Amino acid sequence: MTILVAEDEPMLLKTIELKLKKEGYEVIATADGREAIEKIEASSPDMVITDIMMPFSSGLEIISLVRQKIKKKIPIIILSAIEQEKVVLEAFELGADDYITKPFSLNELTIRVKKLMIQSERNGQH
Amino acid sequence: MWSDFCLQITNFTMSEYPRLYNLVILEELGDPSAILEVLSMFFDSAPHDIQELEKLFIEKKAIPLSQLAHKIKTVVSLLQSFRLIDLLKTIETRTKETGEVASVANEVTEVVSLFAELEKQLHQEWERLKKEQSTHN
Repeated sequence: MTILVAEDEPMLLKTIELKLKKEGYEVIATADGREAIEKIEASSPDMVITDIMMPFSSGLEIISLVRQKIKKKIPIIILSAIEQEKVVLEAFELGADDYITKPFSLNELTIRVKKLMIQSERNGQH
Repeated sequence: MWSDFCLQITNFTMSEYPRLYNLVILEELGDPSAILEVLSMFFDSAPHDIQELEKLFIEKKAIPLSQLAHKIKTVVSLLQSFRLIDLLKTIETRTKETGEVASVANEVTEVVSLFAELEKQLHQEWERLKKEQSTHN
């Protein structure tokens, strides 16, 4: 299973990458939105985890693009320090499957990833 | 009284050296070498970010200051450094809302001094983890 993680803070990106690799996932790590979009189109990962505030393209733009352009229903988790209801609702309306507010527990992230992967498998996406 | 003396010692220790971090999130990595890898990234980048924060404040660049405070907040959140999180949140929101930097002068000063202490404490933690790792190996 491959997860693309888009996060512009290198230390947090590395932390998430190390945790997911330890859990047995392959990780594609990227620090900007534009590169994230390119890599999603090129590699079609099994899941996307993305920050909202990133250089070049935001996490919300990534959700829109994935939902418009990619046929496969890729689960998307948003990781963000933004707690405003308006932004959270917009993320879900655009097609996010989950929204985690920073700072977050790595174990909680892992559980949410596993749950979404199972749901995705049940829906026959893999 | 012995108990008073102990209390004084405790208070002195706590006020002089309050612990500014908690590694509970990084410990969820389940591997001391992974924690060391993340901490080494902190030592490589965070001091430059703090220097840049000061520079942006002096140059009165409110929006870049707000953006950088947001970025540093993400880092110190990983380390559960709550006083720094609060200060950086104030810098981020106030400069964004007002478009000026004068109202966050005290916060910037406190961030710089607390960060120096945090860095010192984390170096000690780093040494402890390294020692622990070499003992296990």
